[in-house]
Amino acid sequence: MAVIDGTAGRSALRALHRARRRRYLLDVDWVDALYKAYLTAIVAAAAVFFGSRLFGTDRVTAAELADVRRFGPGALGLAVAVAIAAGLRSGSRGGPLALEPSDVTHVLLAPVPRATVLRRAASSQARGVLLVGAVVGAVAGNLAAFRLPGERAAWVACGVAFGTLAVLAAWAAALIACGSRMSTRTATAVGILLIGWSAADLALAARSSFGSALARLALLPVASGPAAIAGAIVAAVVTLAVTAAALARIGDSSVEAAERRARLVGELRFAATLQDVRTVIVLHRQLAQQLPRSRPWFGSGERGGRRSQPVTGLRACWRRDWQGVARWPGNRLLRQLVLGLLAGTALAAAWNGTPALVLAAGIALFLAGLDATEGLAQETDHPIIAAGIPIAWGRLLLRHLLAPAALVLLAELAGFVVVAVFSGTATALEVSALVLLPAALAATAGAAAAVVLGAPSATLQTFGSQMGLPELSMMLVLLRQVFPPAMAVLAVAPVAVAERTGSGAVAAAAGALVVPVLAVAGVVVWIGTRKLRTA
Amino acid sequence: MSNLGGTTRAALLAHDLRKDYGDVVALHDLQLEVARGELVALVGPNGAGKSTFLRCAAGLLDPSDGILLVEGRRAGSIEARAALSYIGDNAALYDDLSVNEHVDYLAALHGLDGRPVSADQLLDVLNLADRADDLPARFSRGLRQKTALVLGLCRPFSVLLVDEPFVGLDPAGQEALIDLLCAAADAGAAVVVATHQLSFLRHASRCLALRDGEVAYAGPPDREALDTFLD
Repeated sequence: MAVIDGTAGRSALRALHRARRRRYLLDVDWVDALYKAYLTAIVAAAAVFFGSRLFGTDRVTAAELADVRRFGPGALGLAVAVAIAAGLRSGSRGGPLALEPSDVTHVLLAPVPRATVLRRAASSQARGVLLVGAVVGAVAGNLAAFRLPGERAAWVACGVAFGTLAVLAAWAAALIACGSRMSTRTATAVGILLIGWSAADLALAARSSFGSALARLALLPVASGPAAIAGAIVAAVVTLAVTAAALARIGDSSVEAAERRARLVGELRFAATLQDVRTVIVLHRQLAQQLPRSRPWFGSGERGGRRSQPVTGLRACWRRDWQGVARWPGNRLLRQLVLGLLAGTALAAAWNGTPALVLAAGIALFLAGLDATEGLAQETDHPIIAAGIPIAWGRLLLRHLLAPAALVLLAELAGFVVVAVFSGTATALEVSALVLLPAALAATAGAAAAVVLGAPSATLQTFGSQMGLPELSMMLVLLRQVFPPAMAVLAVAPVAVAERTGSGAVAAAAGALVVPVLAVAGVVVWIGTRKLRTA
Repeated sequence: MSNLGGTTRAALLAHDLRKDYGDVVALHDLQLEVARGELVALVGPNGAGKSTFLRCAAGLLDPSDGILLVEGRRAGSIEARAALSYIGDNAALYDDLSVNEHVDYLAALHGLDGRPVSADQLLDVLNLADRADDLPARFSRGLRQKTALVLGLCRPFSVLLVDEPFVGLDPAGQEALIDLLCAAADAGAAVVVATHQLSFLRHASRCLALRDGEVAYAGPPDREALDTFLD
């Protein structure tokens, strides 16, 4: 039997690549592709131009600049550590590469060195990863230049360098974990260690961790000096060395994990193409191996023997939803907490002069809502079960909204603590307290609407084309997909409104809550009138 | 097609093989041996561990413990991959390659000098010759299964593992496949076929029945003897 060396393997892979490229070039509709590129360029340019203004253009004060110099490396370093920890966990589950299922079956099982195959896939993925890092870094550098002293070109250049190296570090960490078949526990432990180290750096305004050293690169326009430059160079060299080591070990990756990942990522991409939010969430959970616990964290509090009367209606749904939460894996509970903290941090930053961050707060709460509405989503996943229940479909769905709203509210309370610590004013606390409940309801209602709506129908997607206006379909689909998270954003937007108002902030915030509350009421009525379709 | 001469060494050997999925034990200290030239029917109820065993031997699953050798090499190693051909129950095929392009690509990956002669014979036998330039992505389940069979059989191998190959095949396809499997065994390959189709037993030289991840029966493909073990 022939064992193929690396060179022959590479040439076979190149031949496949060429054949597929030829077919792709034959199939591609160039007019359509150019039109899409044209639209994307216009939207991206408009987003950067207007987005820059939203993040504020007021120059920071001397005291704020001192804070940026002191705590900036720690804060950015913490973000790098979180990205590396996420990379390690992804790698322990077979990431970051996602091969095609047919590549696993035919190429990884062929007598070709796996390192050859996987390195090729890795270099292809690396190009995309580095591009994303560079673009995000450039945009962030551009935003920083509006408020911080220093040349715009220098900010953008440092942003690109930092963004590229930060994503490369996270990606290489994933590859190392995958190639060394690191267990999820070990990956989590290493990740926690790195995050803890960076958090300590942030708290003590130190620069001892890898993340802080790398972050000094991003802040060179305001904090240069031999120590900063040396730290940044060391971090860059370490990143490149880790990447080289990761690529050297890649051939030892588990085929079992690669096959599972290939299947799930393929399905995930398909669901994303259809814009099917629920399917994307379910597949993502499978990919992250976030399976329900066989032993619940806590009991429902009502056992058959102790029940005096049958549990029906609202109480049954409330209990069922908490039973589901009791079986959440630890990382899902942790995510709920982190999303609450993120929302709080974004709102505190919005209150401190960056109003656009209400967008981040709203999206974080919407994501928390999507996780929390699992009971409702299970009903929509298995409508055949509900078909045998003598309760109207819409009413059944509504009964599944109470527990998620309570859960999102709990996450928000964690965020409220962050607002209390970082905003520092009684008005900020009053405004935040005012939006707590409406935001929880809006995030839950928005998430429920996203789940109940499902993927956009083919009718909607082709409606515009039939009218001779293909852009109309795109706009309708976009509105439909943006509306659910927009509800959560609208519910926290009063914080930005109040911050801009000055005196009478609480009253202004209360006024701004009218729209989201009406939107929640509208969604509740809409869900309550849904009819069951099992076909 | 394999044309190896027979030897006494086991082509496929499992010793104390164990595979766990968390709390679930799929293979429990499995002992198993298949010699070259044997056509083994691997049977057992759903969840018995048939597919898990085949996937471990193909290198798609990592055994939790024990020894699993293909031609004396660790399952999944590059030498084992050169010797073993695995045809799964769910055909994994490229969406953007025709059947012929699949054949050419896999031939290159297996170090063959040009297109294997057996590919055209297999396409004829399995009634796929007219569709060889079509994309299998647009095929029915049965035609996809036939494509996977062509790809698995046209490459060199001395061990052939086939998982539920008859599902989705028309009667003519099933008969053609049985002939191909027998021919592979006659040519000296160790052939293991996991199936629920007990009529296949009459073509097998030996039968292995799995139950709860262990070998419950190993012996001649005697339907009555087997029934007692599986009941």
